[in-house]
Amino acid sequence: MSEQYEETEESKSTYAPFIIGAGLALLLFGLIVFIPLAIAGGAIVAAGLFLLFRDTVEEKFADLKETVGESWPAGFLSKRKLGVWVFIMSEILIFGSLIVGYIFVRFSSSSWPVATQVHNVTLGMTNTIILLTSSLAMVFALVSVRAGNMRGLKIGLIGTFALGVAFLTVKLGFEWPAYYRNGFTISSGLPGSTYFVLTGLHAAHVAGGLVAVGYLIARTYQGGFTKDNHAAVENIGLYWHFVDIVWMFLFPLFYLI
Amino acid sequence: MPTMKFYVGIWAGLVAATVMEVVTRSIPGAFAVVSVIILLISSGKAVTIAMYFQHLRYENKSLAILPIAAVIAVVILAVAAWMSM
Amino acid sequence: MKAIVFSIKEWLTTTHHKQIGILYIVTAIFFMAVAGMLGEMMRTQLAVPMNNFLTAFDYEQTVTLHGLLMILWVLTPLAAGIANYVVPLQIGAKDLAFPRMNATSYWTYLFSGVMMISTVFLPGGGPDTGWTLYAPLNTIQFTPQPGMTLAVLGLLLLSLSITMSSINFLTTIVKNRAKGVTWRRLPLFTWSIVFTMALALFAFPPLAAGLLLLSSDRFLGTVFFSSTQGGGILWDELFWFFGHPEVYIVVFPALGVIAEVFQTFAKKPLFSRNVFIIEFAAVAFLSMGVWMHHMFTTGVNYSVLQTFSFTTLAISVPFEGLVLALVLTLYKSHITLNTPMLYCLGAIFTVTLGGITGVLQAFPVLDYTFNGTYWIVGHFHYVMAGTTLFALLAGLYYWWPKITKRKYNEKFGVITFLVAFVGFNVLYFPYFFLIAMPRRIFTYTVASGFASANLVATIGAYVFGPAAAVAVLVLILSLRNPVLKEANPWEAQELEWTQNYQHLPGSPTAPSSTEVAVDPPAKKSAGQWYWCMTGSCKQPRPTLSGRKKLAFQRKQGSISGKSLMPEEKSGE
Repeated sequence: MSEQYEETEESKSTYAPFIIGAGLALLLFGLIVFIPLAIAGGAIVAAGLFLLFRDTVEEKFADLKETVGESWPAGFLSKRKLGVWVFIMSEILIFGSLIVGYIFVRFSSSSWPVATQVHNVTLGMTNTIILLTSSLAMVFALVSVRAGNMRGLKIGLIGTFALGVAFLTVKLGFEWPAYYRNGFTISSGLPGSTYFVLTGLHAAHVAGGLVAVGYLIARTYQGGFTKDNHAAVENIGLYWHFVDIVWMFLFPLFYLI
Repeated sequence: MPTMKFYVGIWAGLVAATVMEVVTRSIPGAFAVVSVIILLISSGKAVTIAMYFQHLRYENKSLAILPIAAVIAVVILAVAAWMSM
Repeated sequence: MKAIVFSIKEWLTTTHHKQIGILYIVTAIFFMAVAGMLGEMMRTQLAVPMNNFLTAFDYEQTVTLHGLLMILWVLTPLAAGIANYVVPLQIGAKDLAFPRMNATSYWTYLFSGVMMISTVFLPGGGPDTGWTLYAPLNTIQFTPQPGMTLAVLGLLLLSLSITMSSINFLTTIVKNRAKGVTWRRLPLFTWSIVFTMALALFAFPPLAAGLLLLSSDRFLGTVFFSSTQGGGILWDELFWFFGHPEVYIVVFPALGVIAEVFQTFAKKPLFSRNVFIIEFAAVAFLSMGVWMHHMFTTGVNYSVLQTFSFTTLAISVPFEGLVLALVLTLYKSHITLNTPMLYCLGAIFTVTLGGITGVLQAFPVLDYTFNGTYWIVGHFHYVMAGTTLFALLAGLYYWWPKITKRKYNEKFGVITFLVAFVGFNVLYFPYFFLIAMPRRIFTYTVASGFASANLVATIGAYVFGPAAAVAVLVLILSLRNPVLKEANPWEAQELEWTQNYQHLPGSPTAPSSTEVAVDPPAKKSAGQWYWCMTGSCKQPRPTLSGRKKLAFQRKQGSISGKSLMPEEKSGE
């Protein structure tokens, strides 16, 4: 009998999936029925995620080493990287569908305000450059860790995080309050609805990315990454760059056109 | 793996393209034409980020099929929505 | 019961594919009971004209929840449960690629279903728009109850669950195959799951997009779907771009099960297996381009009617190819008419009827008559409640000895099937005579003339529903039977049967570290291959008798026809 792959002793049971599932349902249920339940649900989800991270840090779920069986045509890809790319496909589809919806709604409307008059192009452009720089920082982090430069890894990750925070600050702290003061709100009509829903969903993805980058920073300081073992840096980087790509389309579609 | 200097160069190009988009908006011309030019620039930016920051340029070709397939599905939806307007 | 360890903690914390598969199956059957009861309530209300068993509002809630639960919380998860159990075994993998995400998929599925059921208990009731949630009916103005918003969020949670599953299965099947399990040798059920999950990956995000816009309308006061300038069509585009691939997501696993069952119990490889896989891919690909046939009557322009009528007719070609390949597998074979085989034959019958009625709907001019009537209801119940449910039940019966190491009572299985099949047709065939009866109406007048067909259908429902319940009961009762001695009572040839797998982790017979060792396929015979019992390829076969002898003689060449039985030549 041939050994298909090695495997270390692993304990395969964890409460995290159950906790996350229950927490998500409670969160959504609470939004409808009783807001404190939603807050409790959110806390439960956070606890579940924390449990996941801790398991990963403690290497409790020692990775099944990659199988040496058949893997054409993805022999060059690790399963996690393949998983991230498949996940990115679903994200392309959700943002793509929403963008198509926006274009459909806009072309079906008899009138639409001029983009540059309603939106703050300067802040939008600033945010675009901020996000591009954060992608550069993420690349720097990856290049550094590949060269064994841990200091560079930290600088890159912290830079990504800080720039992501800056992006959200500009948007939520300066841009949106000004829009609301001017009467351009999420419920002020289709132009407002489409803008806030799409850029809001994008901002939520940036926030989620910040959680992931925060995890990377925590792990770095615990010494979890080495020159040869840093897959998470690359994989979360792929997600971060994708979020950047989405903004490359949202910026012109809303601010310039 | 390309050097940081190369990546900074890519970044500079992306920033320049962003500025170009904004400037293009002010060019007098038919709204549709200008809009198409802007979207072409932004598509170029997106592809650049995918190819270099996400490293697709250096990976096996078959990996790029995945996001491309997703984009094609979105295009099908867009074309049909266009047809039904 | 020794093999099933009853520890709550074990089941709450498991990430093992076999246990998660069982959890999915049990939960799906629970939701089927709930949604089935809702169906019986509807049929009771419609049994006689001007009935008052259900009020109009109650009826609309019932029909909505029945549809949503059956399609999204019963049929697809039942297939996912079987896939969870069987696919890793069929590819020689230890588990799925991301076991914890697999568990998360399950728990989010369960809790999202609980959310759906809880909607009817909220003040104002649950969603009452029909499962399609059309706009602007789905807005606060026309459906103010919070139960509707909760349902939208429940659907979002389920979309997340299924998206995670699709990422998991696709990565697993690409990366976790054992040596020797090449794409061409992939078992057909696993192929069907590949296409199911690929479609799910493409279909659910647009649904999620629509649900996000709808949530935003209902929570944040946006006006996407209440806008008079295209709001209704916007929902249709997003929903049906999901909705059409969704029905193929529902039916693909059924086709995979039928392929497996036919191969085993006709003792023949699938007819034109490679063409089958290509046709499968064609149907999957084309299914992304036919969705606007659900919108023929919305007033869209002529070019849409033309294009999507063409693509819908086009998709029927490879689909018929699939069904034909399945049927031709039975040609010149020796069929064992046991319970799984009978359910699959029933499924072939219903997919033929359902498919023909579907092709008729591809013509917009006919669709104007059919749309919104019981013809459509008959069509999709034939393919979903008929083909999918029968085939998935066949899958449960077929893999039952694998999952539980027990055999169900064959006689009861066959009798239940016959009763269920008759009940099913008595229930749904009258629908094709109710073309004039609109869908989702809660009652009808005596003068309409619908009464007799409805009464017949209700009688059928009172037979079919209990029969489906008994079909499940037969399986549950089999757990009292003694453990089987043989691991492969069907003498099936696919990988999951011929390898020396253990059952649930923690069971007394499971070694502490299960190792998957897959012997490469022993030989190709007549373009097919088979997986031997581990280490047994070189052993002499036991004496054959009866049908097995016939199959063997065919192989030897003394009779014509193909066989999966191994050649017996000396010196191999």
